Amino acid sequence: MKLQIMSPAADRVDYKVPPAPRLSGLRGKTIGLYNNMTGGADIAVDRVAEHISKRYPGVKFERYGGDLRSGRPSLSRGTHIDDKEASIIAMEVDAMIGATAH
Amino acid sequence: MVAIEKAGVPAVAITARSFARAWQSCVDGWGQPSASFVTIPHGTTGQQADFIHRMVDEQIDEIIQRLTEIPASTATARGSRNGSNITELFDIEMDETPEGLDAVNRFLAGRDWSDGIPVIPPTPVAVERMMKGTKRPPQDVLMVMEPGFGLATVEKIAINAVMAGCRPEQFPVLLAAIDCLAKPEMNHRDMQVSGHTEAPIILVNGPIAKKAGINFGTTAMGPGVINSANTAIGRALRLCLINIGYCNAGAGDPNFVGLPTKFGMCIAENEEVSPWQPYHMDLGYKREDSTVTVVTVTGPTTIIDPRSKNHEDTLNNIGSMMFYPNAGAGNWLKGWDSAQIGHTNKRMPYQGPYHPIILSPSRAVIMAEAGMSKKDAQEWLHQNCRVSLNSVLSKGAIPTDAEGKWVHHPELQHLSVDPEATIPALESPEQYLLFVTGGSTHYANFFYGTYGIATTPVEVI
Repeated sequence: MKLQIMSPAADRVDYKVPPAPRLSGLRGKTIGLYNNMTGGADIAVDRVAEHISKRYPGVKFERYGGDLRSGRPSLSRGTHIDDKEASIIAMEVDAMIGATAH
Repeated sequence: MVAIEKAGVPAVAITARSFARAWQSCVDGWGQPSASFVTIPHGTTGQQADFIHRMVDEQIDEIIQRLTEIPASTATARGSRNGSNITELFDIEMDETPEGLDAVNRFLAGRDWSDGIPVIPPTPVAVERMMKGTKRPPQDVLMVMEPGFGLATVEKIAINAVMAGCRPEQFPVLLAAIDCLAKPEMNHRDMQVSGHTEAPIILVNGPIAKKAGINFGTTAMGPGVINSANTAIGRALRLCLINIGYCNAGAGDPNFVGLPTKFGMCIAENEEVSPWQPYHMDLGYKREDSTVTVVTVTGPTTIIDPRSKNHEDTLNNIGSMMFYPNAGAGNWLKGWDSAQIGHTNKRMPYQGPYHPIILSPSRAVIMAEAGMSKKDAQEWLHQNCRVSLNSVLSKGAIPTDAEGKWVHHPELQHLSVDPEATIPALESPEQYLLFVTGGSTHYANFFYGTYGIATTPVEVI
């Protein structure tokens, strides 16, 4: 016999965010280093910065996560980067490297 | 990181390998399946710097490369995005063989549309019958459920309720639970996608409990026929989280090992036996109102209390089981966390966490006989469950203003020079959510609240 059933899976909001253009290279760029304040994320992004500094002398870094900028949110796993903060960060860096620690 | 990409900045994230599917599931929902991430073998929390360095060193070329190249999307299409209000129907061939009897379950499992346990087939007739449990129209959207951003229509919830074994009279409780999840202060996104082991617990108050057949006595949170309503409602919520929120095991749901409570938890307060007013009256509802409260919790820890001689012994016993080092006690000094609101990506502060203490009526009576109201008991726990201020300060900076003053609790800053200073583990007494239920004996179950809490009235049919 045939049994007809209804799909339990929901229709989804179809939302699209195109990827940002990539960099042609890292030379002379400013890289953001974001850690979400979970253990060791800061160590991970700092290690990346060490490598990049060796390969591309002159690259600058801006750090995000925690209470680093007066008047700006204390970014963490619980206080994520929202659109407003992202638009400010976009004026400060050319690219971002982040780490989540779990 | 999608917010950063959306702002026009190329980004790459480093995450533990066990989070890879969860990451992909989240960025799919966020509309950017190609969002870059590079995995390392283990989480970094608690690891020594040298170990973290070695893990990063192995991936450094790929991390850098992701800033200059867009990776191919690894997203897999799943679920329906048909954009219409018409629910897909499937014809399943069944017969009397073991395989034939299990055909519906095999079909659903093949699409990852199940919690892994056999379900009741959601036939149109069964779903129509479930819809008789509400006056809400089938296409009403209660919320957009993350991480998949699925539309939680009344009909989709009804389909999942049928699968879980719910009956129409239980459907309003489930709908109210989804209404709770829809509230920003519930912070359901974090509940869904966190690596923490946590699950929603549904706490029911008012006359709906009896009407829905929810057990609030002995064994109410366990297996058994007398607990079938509790089990079905709790399970139905989990199926909704999977099939509507797309929070599938190992994908949207990256819990490190999961929790048995994730199959479902639903319990009502034993209002007939409790010496105190029920929880919903603490919130300003009338006794005859029916409400559902959902709290995101981990645990439980059972508190065994046979040797206490008085109410303070009992409270001491409960308090001694609640907090352990490095798990967030006292974090309220740093301000409230924020919930993240859908694709708008706005933040909304919420107070948390709330710790439900499922208190046997017997333990509540001990306190009431000693003259303690529920509020007194909550105040006692608030005052006596404390944490060293030094230990809080050693686990991350307290946000300060330009003059170095603590932003959130400047009145406590003077204590920071006192190595002996302690502060309450939780910010306010109400965060000890005393819920009196179960059989009347010498136990309590403590749930560690993690993300959010919300309460909503239940529809009257």
